[in-house]
Amino acid sequence: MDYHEKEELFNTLYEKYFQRIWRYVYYKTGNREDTEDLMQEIFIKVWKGLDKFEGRSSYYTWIFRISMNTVYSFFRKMRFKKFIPLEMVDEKHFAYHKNEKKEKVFEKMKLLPKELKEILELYYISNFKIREISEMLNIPEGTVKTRLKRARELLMELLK
Amino acid sequence: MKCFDINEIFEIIEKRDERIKELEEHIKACEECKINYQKIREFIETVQIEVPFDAKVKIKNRIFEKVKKKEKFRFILVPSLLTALAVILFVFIFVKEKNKEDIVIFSPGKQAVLTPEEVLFAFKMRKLRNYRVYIDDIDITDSLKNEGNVFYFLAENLELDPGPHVLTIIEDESRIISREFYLTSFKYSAGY
Repeated sequence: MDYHEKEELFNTLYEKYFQRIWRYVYYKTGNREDTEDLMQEIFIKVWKGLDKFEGRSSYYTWIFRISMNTVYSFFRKMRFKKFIPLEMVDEKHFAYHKNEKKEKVFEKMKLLPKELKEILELYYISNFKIREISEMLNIPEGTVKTRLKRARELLMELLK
Repeated sequence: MKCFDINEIFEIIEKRDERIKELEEHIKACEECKINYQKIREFIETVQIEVPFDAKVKIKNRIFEKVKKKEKFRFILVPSLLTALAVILFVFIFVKEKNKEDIVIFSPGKQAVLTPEEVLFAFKMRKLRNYRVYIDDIDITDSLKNEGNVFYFLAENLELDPGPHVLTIIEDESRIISREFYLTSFKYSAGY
């Protein structure tokens, strides 16, 4: 792949996935500044990785995994900076969503079991389809649907 | 009328299902479904995260600024470094080749102290013609054995006296390389 082909592919992927990734990263960090830095880091990794991409997964699965790992590393660094246990480092430690309603909903989402929370975040925050989530998490579509239903029910219980 | 469960309400709202009218009619009379409906609508509206209009372009510019810097580095600095490395490598190999001895003596080392049983001479010769090899004045050329370009001589049958000796290689009766070694009287004094 020459430079121009690479640039063209990168632009297509950037246009297609920017919004979804932004929503995921912003949901995790809770502030624009960190989101911008992480978005830059994620897409630079995408640029660097394009030459080596073997097509073993779809582009969105690959890019989303890069995003998850980059966000995870970010929180891990935060843990060392602030001496906070990793499981406690989340958006609460940042200038989070000023919107109280948002904050309340997101806090409740955080209380869900990990496998349910994950599905809810991918489906509602990043707007991935059931099929895409199934591919991303490597679980059957039926399992994604079941977990999504369970997550909605539990969340509504928590929001009451 | 039958109540709607949570997932049904979610799907009706998300897919803009035609049952929305049925649901709206139902919640007029059902408080529980009404609360669920409101909570779900609120949730769906709340999780929408807007992307600032300038963020996409701003971040892309930042990315390409960095990428182009690195590409520049790759296209200018890397070839320069590779050229420099090639030159250094060439000089190194050329100089080394020039300095390579035609004869390298492995054994005995300079001023080596050996017992008669240990005496074994080994040397490597490259492009050597018309050579003769001596220990002191004894010509051992015809007794040399060789494996490839490594020549060796087993000295066990050579009756050398304890004391200093000299290994000499003469090429074309002009080039002389010699190496001293010392033979101990260990064999005799240790009471063999």
